Amino acid sequence: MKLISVNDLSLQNEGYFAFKHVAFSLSQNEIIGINGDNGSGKTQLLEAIASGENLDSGTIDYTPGVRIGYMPQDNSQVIDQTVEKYLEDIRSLSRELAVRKEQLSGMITLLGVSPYLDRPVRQLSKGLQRKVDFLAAVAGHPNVLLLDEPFVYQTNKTINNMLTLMQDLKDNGSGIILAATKFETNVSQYLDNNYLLKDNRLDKIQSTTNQETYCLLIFSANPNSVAITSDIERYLVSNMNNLVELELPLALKDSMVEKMTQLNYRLQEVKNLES
Amino acid sequence: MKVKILLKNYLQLFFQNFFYLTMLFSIIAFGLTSSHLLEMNSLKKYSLLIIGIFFLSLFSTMNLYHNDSKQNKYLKQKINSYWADTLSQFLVALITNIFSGILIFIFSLILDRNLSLDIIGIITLVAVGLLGSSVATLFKTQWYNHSSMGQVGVLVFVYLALSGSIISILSYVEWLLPPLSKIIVTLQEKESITSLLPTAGQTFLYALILFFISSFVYKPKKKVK
Repeated sequence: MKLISVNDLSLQNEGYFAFKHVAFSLSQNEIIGINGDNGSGKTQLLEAIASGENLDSGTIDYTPGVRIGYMPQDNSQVIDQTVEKYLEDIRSLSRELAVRKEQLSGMITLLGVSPYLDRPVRQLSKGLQRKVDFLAAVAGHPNVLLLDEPFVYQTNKTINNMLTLMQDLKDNGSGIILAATKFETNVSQYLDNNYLLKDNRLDKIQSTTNQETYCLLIFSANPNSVAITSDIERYLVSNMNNLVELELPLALKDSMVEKMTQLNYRLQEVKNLES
Repeated sequence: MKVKILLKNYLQLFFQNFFYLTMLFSIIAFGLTSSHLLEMNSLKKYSLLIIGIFFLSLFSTMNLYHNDSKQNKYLKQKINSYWADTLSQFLVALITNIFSGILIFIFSLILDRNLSLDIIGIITLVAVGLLGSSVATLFKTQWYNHSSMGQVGVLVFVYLALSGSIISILSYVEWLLPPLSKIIVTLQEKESITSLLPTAGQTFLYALILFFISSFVYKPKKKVK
């Protein structure tokens, strides 16, 4: 199901076009990447979609019920509240539609923000503030997530954890638009469609996605192994003779191995599969 | 919840750079010392305090919208409620003006055993403060899309607020003008703070109307389906 349709959208600032005749759509269970040089208009395009305001021509059709979570490139808000209070306030804005409190705690832990919960957001480093912005964007459990340069200042481990959260949102029916100057290989594996914003135009480029490539992970269970959690269960192919087989996109391999190891399973074999 | 988050945020912005507090304490210091320093009577001092709170609320509300335009863009996207935003702005103006009005009156040394004088004195200060805030709200576009128009608008309204009752050519449309000068003229003529109640009521109503007009002027027009 389509979540957003952008039709022939144009925007100019003081006589200069940010972008012209942009058209694309975002569906459920889809991650779109938008590449482009600095100043190519990525941020303006995301802001136009997030606000639906100040457009020169064209339309944006939002499917009824769409809730947008937006992580801006540069959030100028000075937040005196502690990280915990701020994220809880933002979460509560979406009321019962938001992620559950314990889910938010899990995300906070996954991104390594737990030690800073009682610190005012304005006192955090830029990288940590970006993590808080990311968490604020996902806390409302949006069905459209717009991320503007989300991986700046982040380590590879954090980027992988952010990608895991994004994949989780996608698997639960959300659509995601990711804008960045450049996508590294580990990121582009997650993209279903990739666009290039250049010379004010948005063109679809051949997908660099590795999504169709799947792998089979075989783990052995031992007496200390814990029951498989529901988020892993969906990839389960078989579970017999103390061997657990999981089939999943190659992009998720590393995070899955980490999760299974935490549950006391041992990786025995990895097989690459063609879809 | 939306109003609570915005209200907290606006109050934080209001006190963020000490602009408001510096001006407020300057006016309080003036109220405390002017009787001896300038040998002025209570009515003259009260007239000047009324003008003082008008400019205090005008400038500090303008400062609020300036900070708001720089910092709150993405918070408002998250809140996504124009009316919660508008209500929060009005509540901030109301709370800060009540705070200013009470403090300024208490420290003006005009405080009297006559309770009605004290209450009307505070109400008038609060109403004039709200008038200043409402003018800043009506022309907050100076911090957003139309900088020059907003600035000219503030200048014109300040001029009309101060001159409405003393320029004869404007007497025909006096009811249209911000009633600040009317309060001061009434005070000079009747020489009693308690006689200001009707004009204070008119000022409060005028400020409410300006807030009401602003809320429709700035209502966003979305160009989306």
